[in-house]
Amino acid sequence: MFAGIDIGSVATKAVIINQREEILVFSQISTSYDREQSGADVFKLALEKSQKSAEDIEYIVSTGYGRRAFTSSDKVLPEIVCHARGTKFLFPAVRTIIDIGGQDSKVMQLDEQGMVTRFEMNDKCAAGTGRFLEVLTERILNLPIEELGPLSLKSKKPCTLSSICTVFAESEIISFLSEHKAKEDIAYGMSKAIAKRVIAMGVGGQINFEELIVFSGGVAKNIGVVKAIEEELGKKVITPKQPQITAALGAAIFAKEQS
Amino acid sequence: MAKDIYEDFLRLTGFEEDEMSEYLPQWRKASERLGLTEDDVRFATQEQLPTYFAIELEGIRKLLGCFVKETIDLTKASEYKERGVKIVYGILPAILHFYYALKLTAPGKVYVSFPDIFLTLVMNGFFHKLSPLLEEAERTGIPYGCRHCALNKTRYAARRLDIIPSPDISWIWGFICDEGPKTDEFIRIYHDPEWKTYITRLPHDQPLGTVEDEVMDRVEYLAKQMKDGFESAQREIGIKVEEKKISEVIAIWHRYAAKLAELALLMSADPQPLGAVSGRLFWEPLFTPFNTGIEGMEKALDITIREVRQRVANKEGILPKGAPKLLIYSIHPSVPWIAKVFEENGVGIPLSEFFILTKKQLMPPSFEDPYMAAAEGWLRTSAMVNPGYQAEQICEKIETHKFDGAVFGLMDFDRWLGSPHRLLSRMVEEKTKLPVFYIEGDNWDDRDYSLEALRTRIESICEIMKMRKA
Repeated sequence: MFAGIDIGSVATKAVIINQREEILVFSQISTSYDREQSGADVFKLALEKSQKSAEDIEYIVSTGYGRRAFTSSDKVLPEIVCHARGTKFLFPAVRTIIDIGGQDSKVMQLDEQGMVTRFEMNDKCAAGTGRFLEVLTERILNLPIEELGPLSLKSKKPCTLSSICTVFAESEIISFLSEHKAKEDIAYGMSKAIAKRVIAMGVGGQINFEELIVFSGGVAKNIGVVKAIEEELGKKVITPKQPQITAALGAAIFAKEQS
Repeated sequence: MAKDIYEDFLRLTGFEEDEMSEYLPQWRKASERLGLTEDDVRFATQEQLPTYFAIELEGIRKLLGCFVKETIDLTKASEYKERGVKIVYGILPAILHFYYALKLTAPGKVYVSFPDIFLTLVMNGFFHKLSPLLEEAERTGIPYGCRHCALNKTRYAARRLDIIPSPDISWIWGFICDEGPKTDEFIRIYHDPEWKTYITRLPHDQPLGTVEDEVMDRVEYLAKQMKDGFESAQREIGIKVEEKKISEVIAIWHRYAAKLAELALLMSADPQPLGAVSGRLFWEPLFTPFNTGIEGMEKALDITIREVRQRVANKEGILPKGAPKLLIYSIHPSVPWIAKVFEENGVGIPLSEFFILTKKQLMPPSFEDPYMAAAEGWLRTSAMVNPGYQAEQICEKIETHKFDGAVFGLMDFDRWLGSPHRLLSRMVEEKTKLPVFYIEGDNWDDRDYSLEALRTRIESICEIMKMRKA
């Protein structure tokens, strides 16, 4: 058996697969300040859920923001290639991946073989990522993050956020609230801001968003953002059933290939 | 007795024992003038230089030593000025033949330097301590994040901090970017009224893909601009240069460039025998005049070629045989960790596109007139002015050195230098069908782009290349 560990800024994920590349278990926990411990904890959880022991695992690949901190892995790989491999496994026809995680967002273009031909990542700033939504939703709108997506679908006249800077967006939302704008319109405005940001990033990198487009990462759970991306692109976007699995799954597949 | 780190530094950078008594006090004084502490010198000696430069090679140690000698010389420019030596500055990219011709004509009467590029390379590349200069510029008029690149900030700050004196003439070029000339105006108006400038410009008005060195009007126009500029500089400093001196410099330039071409071929051997940063400094005298001359650099280059040739013969490499190899637009030793991350992840970026020469660039000039020859030489580069022509040249370089792909970017500090990169990357990708990547970053000033910020991008490129090659 083979394991992939994806230590992200917000969530740490583990996937264990067998020789036939069947997914035996997918586990997820919140990432703590100690990234090595987070990796160890999620691995332990995955082993418990699959009723296996560490000795059953032939090879481990770690990936994600904290990939180097997890010293128990046999190999470390950057998340771009792991996302590509995991997503290609789930959706063989994929040509574009949009991944929005806790503090970074990425757009990847794949060729027919699933090889990454172009990619773009956000830099220096977590605007337009999961953290952006989390801060604005829980602190300003006083809503649990899970409610944001369904709420935004009720929007009839979405607000326009002129900035995707978390701090400036916060001020804008406070202004909208003081003007008694509907929360659903603010919520969808936030979704559109994220969509515009990630699409502009990809377009800037000469990525033409060829279909099939897969949207992964924690933010892909938000159906408002999915809708906003589809609207902005004018194209259908697919999300995995477990949007946060892809990098860990890709890492597990690489682990099998490396062993 | 406490270990003398200044002495260790000089020894590490190729100084001979019999040079110590002359250079050690000078190096201490130069360090002080540059704001380098004993800890900074220790950091360079024990960490930075051993990490990024192939100090096990005598040629590389001698190369570093040439930079140290030039740095010492730079800090003496104010003394030279007091003694009546004429001070001539410039910025890159420029045609260096004229600066070297001044030195050849009146070696003891003129001091030539591009202080900004030199300080940037040494202060960041050797000591990782350019920030105080940049912050000084930002504090006093060139704000953080504005489009003035680290070079312009460094030139301004070096004058403000009295590291360098006012020039008798700063012959400055707007070949690619107009921010350089604008910075000189800024320095003169807001800080130093004695900062005299002459500007030579070349408009970017040729259709995409024009082979500019074959357009006679273009060559003549640029030759005229250069002649006007050089005559103004000569008038300003009262030194008359005979045209044959320019021709002599062109001959020296071609001799040195031919040796660099050999080093480039050696560096693109498989396995790659030398790290990108170590080799890259040898190209500097083609783009930055050395007041101390290029003889020392040429000797270091000869030694290095011999040593690297031996490594190639022994099949010794810094990377495994068959490792993917990318042509990078420009790697700057001022931020040496970028190249190191590529190499640590099993991908070579041995040569910088901007610095290696095409077959045409290595050919002797078509004109006897030194100005026409110099103009033709510059137009043969097409660098960052005409992406259509440049893309053709990049493809030739990829073919010559058998690269597996290319990396553009790391020039986001400058709208002139950085803006054609996306276009270039697309053109090169379409022509070569090889993978071409783009990295946002600043290869002079890494305050905004830390190692951790760029690590995932670089590692991803490396993994993609390894997978493709496999």
